[in-house]
Amino acid sequence: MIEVKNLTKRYGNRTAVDKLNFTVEDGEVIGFLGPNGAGKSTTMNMLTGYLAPSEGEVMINGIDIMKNPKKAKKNIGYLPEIPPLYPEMTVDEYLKFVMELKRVPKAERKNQLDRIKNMIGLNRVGDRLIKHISKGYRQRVGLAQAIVGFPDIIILDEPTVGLDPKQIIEIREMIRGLGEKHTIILSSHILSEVAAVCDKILVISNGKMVAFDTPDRLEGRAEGETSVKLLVKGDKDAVRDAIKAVEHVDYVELNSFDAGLSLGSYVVHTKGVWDIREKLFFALSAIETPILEMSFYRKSLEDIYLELTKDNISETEDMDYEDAFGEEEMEEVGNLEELYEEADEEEDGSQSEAADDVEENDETGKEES
Amino acid sequence: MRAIFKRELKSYFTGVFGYLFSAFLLFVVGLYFTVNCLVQASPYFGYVIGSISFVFIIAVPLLTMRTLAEDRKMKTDQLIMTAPVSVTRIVLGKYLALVTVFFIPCVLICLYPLILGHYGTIPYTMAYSAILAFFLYGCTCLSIGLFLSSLTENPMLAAVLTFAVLFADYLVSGIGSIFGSESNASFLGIMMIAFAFAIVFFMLTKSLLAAFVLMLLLGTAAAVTYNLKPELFTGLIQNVAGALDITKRMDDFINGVFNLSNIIYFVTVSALFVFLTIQSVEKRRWS
Repeated sequence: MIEVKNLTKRYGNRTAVDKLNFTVEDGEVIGFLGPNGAGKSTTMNMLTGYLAPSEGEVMINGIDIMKNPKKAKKNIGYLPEIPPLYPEMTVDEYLKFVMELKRVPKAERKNQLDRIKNMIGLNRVGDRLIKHISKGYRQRVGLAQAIVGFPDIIILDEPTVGLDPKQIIEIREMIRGLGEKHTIILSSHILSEVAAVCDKILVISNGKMVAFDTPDRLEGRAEGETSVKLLVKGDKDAVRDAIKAVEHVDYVELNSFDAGLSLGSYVVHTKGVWDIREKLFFALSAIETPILEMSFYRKSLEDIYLELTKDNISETEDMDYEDAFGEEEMEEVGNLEELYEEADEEEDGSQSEAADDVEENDETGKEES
Repeated sequence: MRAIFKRELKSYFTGVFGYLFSAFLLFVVGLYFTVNCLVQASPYFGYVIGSISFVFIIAVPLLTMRTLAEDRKMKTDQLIMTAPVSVTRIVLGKYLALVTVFFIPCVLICLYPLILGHYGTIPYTMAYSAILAFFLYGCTCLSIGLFLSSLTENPMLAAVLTFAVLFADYLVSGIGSIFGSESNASFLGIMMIAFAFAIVFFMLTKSLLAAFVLMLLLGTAAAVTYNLKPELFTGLIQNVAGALDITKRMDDFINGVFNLSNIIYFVTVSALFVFLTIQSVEKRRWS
């Protein structure tokens, strides 16, 4: 269990993390979501005891990480943004070093090394120098390093950044597998990744927590999140009154009305998440005003995310330093999103094909050596 | 600590720097041994040690520059610092690895007096007390290098800094003697030291105001003392320079005098810099 109280980090005048309060229960998978520079990495560095908070405290299984760091750190495995690897060591040497560093008992080391290498898929690269393996494998070694000693809590900072879609899926599967037995916190600026893997999402913007909820409930957060667009033939006042009488309807907008054809285009907003299409059909057919077109809209998680982190973008524009790449970053997020979704489809469509590709990938990895 | 120590030690010998360091030390010792002892048929190995105290100015930066700076650059400090190991143990592990690498050529150097012994009677105690001093002096230089490596994440910068500091220390007595021993010369020297101190302070804290205030305080204090009691300043620069001169502490040993206070000096200075390193690593988490 992780308890975070009033966690704050200031660098001079800049507040990177501002009064975070949240609790992660055992066995939960939590996603930190926020645009670049929102304070995700800083928060993770404080959770793992790498940075000291300016204010507030972090309790790991009831132990304060600043007061009793040795005991608290034993329960944490951490994969930072850049995997902390020694390029001149082989993968096996490196993992053995990490085991000794994390005080895995000597008798268990051999066994655990084999187990971890099997889990993460590192069997083929065990005796290769880290500087010679591909980026995807380096990320895996980083992940392997984080689960050495099988700590209760595993913290992963952008575990899939810089990987190709296939590798992203592989790492994501591994995280899902780990989530069955461990408490996991992972960060990302890619929404679909967090939504796919995590039980709860913590949205950070400008160092502040703007939301902490399950993906489903997050989706149902904002007011009027579902709407129905209608094209109805008939008298506009009669139609409007009929729609208003339908259950759950909040308000109706009339976008346009063609008096000659008596055709009106309406947008119906609901209170809460309701699919009112059937009721609209019966209500309008009762007064004999035919519906020509009808479509249902639901605010996506993405809309909510963008809405929640809107301030982050506008406020960073004030700072000349981040001004330059504020918008660019957002575009990049969009592109990654598309890429990722493509990869998603591929995965859903042909499981077996994906497995074949993995084999191929390993083969090419061998050639590299 | 054991894990860190073992990994560091291994890294010096899987890379080139451990070999380069040992080779350089042994080359210089061998050269001076040949010239001073073999060619001139002198039995005093201690003098060989005395004349090669400069090797550390070049050899130590080679070895220490990556110690902590590289970890920061490669972000591997995030692994070490989040492992259940205290900062003290991390730094000690690294320092002991440095000392161990240095210990290996020292063992080989211990063979030289034995070689000389084949050709006649030689003063063994003098030779070995000189080697002991050589080892202690080297360990002190390594602790300085370790500290300077903790200040930056650029190993090259750490190397240059270490070189500069060791070189300055090597020359400090000479610089001290440039100033006359009169009180006004000392006063001038103290003002310059205050200025240098303020610059270092500024580099560490990046606060121009604080550095300026510090310089003003030191300068005023010196000026007031100088006006009230000028005799305090007589020979002060030489005393300060003498206290800072680490190399000088080897002299007694080279002449065969086993001086405990000098051993304490070496150990204290080493411990001080190891302590400062721990503080400097610890401080980074708070900034």
